[in-house]
Amino acid sequence: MSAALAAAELACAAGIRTLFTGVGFELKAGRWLQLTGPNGTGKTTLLRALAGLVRPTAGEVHWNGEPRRVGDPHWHAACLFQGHAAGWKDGLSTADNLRLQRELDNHLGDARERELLARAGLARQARLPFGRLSAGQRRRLSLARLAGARQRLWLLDEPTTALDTAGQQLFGELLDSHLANGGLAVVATHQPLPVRERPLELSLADHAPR
Amino acid sequence: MQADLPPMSASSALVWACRRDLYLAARSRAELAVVRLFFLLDASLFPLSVSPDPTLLRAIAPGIAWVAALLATLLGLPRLFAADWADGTLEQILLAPAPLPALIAGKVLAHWLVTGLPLLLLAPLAGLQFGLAADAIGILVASLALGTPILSWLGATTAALTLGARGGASLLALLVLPLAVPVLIFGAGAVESFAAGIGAEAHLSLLGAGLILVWVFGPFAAALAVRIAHE
Repeated sequence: MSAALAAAELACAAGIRTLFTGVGFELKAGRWLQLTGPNGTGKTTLLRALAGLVRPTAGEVHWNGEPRRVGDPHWHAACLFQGHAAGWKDGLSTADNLRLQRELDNHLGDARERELLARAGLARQARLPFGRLSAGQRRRLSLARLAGARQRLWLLDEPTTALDTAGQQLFGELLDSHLANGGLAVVATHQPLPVRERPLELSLADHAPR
Repeated sequence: MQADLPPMSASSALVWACRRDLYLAARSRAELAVVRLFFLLDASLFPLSVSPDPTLLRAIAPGIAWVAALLATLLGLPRLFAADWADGTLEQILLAPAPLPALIAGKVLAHWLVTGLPLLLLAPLAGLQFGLAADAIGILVASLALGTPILSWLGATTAALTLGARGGASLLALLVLPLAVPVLIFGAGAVESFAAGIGAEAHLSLLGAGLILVWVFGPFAAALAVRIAHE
């Protein structure tokens, strides 16, 4: 069965202020959605609503044709969310951080942390506390997670911020191979990304409330 | 495309969260030592401020030990979720393919192991300081063993609800203290009724019932509170 993500008439609010209304899209396996729009139009909120962190004020999200239920472990096993707050512990080493996150993602007992860190160019920083990494290196740890991810849907918030050209290139390769494997992705970004597969585009500026 | 990974079972989720938090706690030993020292110092203030009279001190010792335990628990509570909330790891825990109540239970268990359990070990020291008899100390430790996990669960749910609120830590103390009053009454009451010759069974049974209750409902209440905090 090929995977599909669909949203219909989605609306979200920040407090009492409506951010966007009537957002709808359909995403099939192997495609990705580029989410654009000026700052403050709700890109992050839309991603959080898709993941199930924020309850949309209207509309529904469907996964494989069925409404996705927040808290359903099967949904969470299929979806990877990488937000603004990176989700890493400053005090733990880079390798420990990645190991704990991968255990939580339920990669039972495959110790591929070294290999993944090397892929992301962090081989020499494996033992360094995460808090001592540079902004770009921190992003690269998220790339290491992506490189070993098996979730079919990726929800990524500004994944290439602070990355150097090589890092952006690596992100493009990771996303391309994910899509080639039948994966899906929704990526909020301001920059054009070095991805071969052409994205569906969704600008939240078109959905701002009037 | 490979098949989806299977979701994590409740037991392995609990073990993962508990191990993770213990691992993190091992890296902030100084902060935890503060909680333990606070308990002992707190208990030591009373002879200085009330009266050094041994009979009086022996009479109020259980109450003092319990108040000190409650305050020490409060001191440790903000650590439970606030740090994970700030760096985004709590978000990843919410989105994990595992039952959230089990993950939260693991966190609370770890929290109790590093803040509650040491108090049990220190309580005899405080008891000796006040001249409590050995069997009364036994009852005190038993009441703390049953009561401090209840405090941890009450605190966990409240801590999750105050995430993101301004002045969260002080608000937390303000909210938890009234909820903790019954635990305090039965905990300190256990030792007092034992000393009065009535026996502590009734008090301890009530604490035990409370303990079962919080372990059954606490994970779901706290999990819901964490979800609400993220919306």
